[in-house]
Amino acid sequence: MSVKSSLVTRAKDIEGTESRSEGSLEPLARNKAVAKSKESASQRKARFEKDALPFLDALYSAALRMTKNPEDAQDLVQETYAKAFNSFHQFEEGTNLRAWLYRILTTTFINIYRKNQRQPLISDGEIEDWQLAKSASHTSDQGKSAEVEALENLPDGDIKRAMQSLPEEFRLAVYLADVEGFSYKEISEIMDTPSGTVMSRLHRGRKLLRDLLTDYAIESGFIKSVGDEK
Amino acid sequence: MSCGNPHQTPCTDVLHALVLFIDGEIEDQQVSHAIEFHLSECPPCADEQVAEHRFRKLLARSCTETAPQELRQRIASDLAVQSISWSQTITYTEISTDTFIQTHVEIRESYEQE
Repeated sequence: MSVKSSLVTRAKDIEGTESRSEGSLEPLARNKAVAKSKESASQRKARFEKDALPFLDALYSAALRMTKNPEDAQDLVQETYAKAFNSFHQFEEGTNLRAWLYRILTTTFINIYRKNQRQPLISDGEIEDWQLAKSASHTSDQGKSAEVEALENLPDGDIKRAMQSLPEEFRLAVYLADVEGFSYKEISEIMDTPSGTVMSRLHRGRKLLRDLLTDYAIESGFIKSVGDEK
Repeated sequence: MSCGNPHQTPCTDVLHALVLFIDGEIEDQQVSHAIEFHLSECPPCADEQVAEHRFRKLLARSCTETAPQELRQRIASDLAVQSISWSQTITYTEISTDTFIQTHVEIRESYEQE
């Protein structure tokens, strides 16, 4: 009996330093991921902690404006960081990390949390001009900065309350521009809307917010009720 | 709202563009210089500019929060789990005779936290 024996041994090493939880990388990104995987997992984690974690407070503040409650805001920010870390190897150094993080935050919010909220969405056109025109009657003769000075007496809680009562798209645009100082172009990328829409949301949002705060200031007696001055 | 003096750029034009100017969205340098010049010589328009800045500061004052410690910890532990390095080794051995084929596959997985 002849015994012919062959031995075939194939060994294949698959090394993955990427996340195990999400396999949704696009083909192009996957190539990049391979190229970047020279960076060890711990190096990437260190880079992420150094570059992305400093935005935690800011992202949490933004998340609170979006979700309106601390529990959801925490979940949203946690989810945002998890997603950001998962795709961090795709993020090109030197590009705008802060805007990138806000983009993930906003997209995550829209996809997950907004669905759960029963609040009806108001589209940009639905705030009627008569609502916007309301503020004309508030204008005092003292000049604009004196008006704002009066608003500065309002407690933080009133300002947050006013922010929260703005329709979501307006609120976000105003927050991103006035608090975070993002440019129109960045906001349009973060919110995935044309910059013309950003401008109109900003314009309307700012005006509504000022009107609301002026009302609060009148209620609190920081501004005299106007109309009988002239 | 005007100081009553004649300006090279009229107040109405400046006020119209003021928000864009403050937002840093005016690309034409000539236009922004004209606005800057106007603001330097027209107190009422300059006051509008001050008001805009103060309003933004007011919002930032009230809307700046500190993330709870609990959230920091949750993110830190997520990162620890997500950055575990994973490797898999598959060894595939085939022994064949005329009448007999034996295949042996060995898979080893290892997780290590670097």
